[in-house]
Amino acid sequence: MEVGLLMLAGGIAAGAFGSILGLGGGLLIVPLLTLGFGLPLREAVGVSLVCVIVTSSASAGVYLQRRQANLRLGMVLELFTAAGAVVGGAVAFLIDERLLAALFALLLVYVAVTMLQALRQPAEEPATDDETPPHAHLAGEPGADRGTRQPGITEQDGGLVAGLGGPGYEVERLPAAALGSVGAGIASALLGIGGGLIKVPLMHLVLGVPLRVATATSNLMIGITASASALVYLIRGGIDAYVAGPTAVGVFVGASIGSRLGHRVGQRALRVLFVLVLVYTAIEMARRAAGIA
Amino acid sequence: MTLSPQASALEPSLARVLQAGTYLSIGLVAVGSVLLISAGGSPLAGGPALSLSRLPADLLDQAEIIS
Repeated sequence: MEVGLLMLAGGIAAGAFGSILGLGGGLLIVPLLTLGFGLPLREAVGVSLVCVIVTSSASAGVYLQRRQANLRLGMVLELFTAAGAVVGGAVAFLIDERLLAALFALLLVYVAVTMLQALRQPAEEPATDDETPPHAHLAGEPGADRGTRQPGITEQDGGLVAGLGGPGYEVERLPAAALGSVGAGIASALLGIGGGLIKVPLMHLVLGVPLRVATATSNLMIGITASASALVYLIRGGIDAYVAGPTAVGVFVGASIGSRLGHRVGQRALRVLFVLVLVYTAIEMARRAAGIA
Repeated sequence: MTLSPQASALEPSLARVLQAGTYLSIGLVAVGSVLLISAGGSPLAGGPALSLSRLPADLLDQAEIIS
């Protein structure tokens, strides 16, 4: 009974933490289950994928209702991401768990470094919150005719890519983004994450989508990506329903709490704490990869 | 981009389906988890493996228990 309650509590903590910091629960669920409960890494990844589906479904509904997500762009990119996720799901059962642990440790280090860089940026220059993509062409500027759709031009005139833009922006470099989406899908399936860490920068920096739209669209996409990989895990017996149940319920409750508490909590202190947790977890994962733990 | 009326109506409808589906699914999983925990079972004891051939029979059994 204690184990079930602890799993539920762990799920709540991971969900709340992830929600407040804008990260998916997957990043925390996998270490929690492997290091905390001794679950094999592959099974933890399977459970984490279920949790990602839960959080994405809950938040995607809100984003869709607010019309923040670009549904059409998300679905086009998702074709490539889901294909990557299926491939990644199949590969996950072929490679050694120690290699998976090493990859997860690298992911944790990457996130920790990214968060540290964000912490070091002065508050006046919130570069990562900039709504305007670096190469976006705004109306009235040189190149505006390329970056912003002209009135009267319909998506039928411009083909598929022209139909993927939104109010005030146009999608560029779709083939590169499609390739990156396949990578995001593979990473998601291998590591049990939603892949938002890859999808959001991809849409914002490569496609030229405003950050808010990229975040909302990514939230919508990660559930579908995780569903594709989770299906592979489910068929291959990689999802333990008894573990997934309490953990997913906990993550759902935690994410709901986190979304309400987010604006009241001191982000800076929480981020510092989170970086420390990430570094510790990365070390433990690296030890596991090296066969020491 | 100006969306057609059908496309405009799609997003709120999808949102409703997603939200209702999520709450229903989580509700069912929560009931199962509470039953598991209250019965003293450990999640680490190992859950049943998915068997597609057994799935319809299992669902029918559950429906009979509920009714």
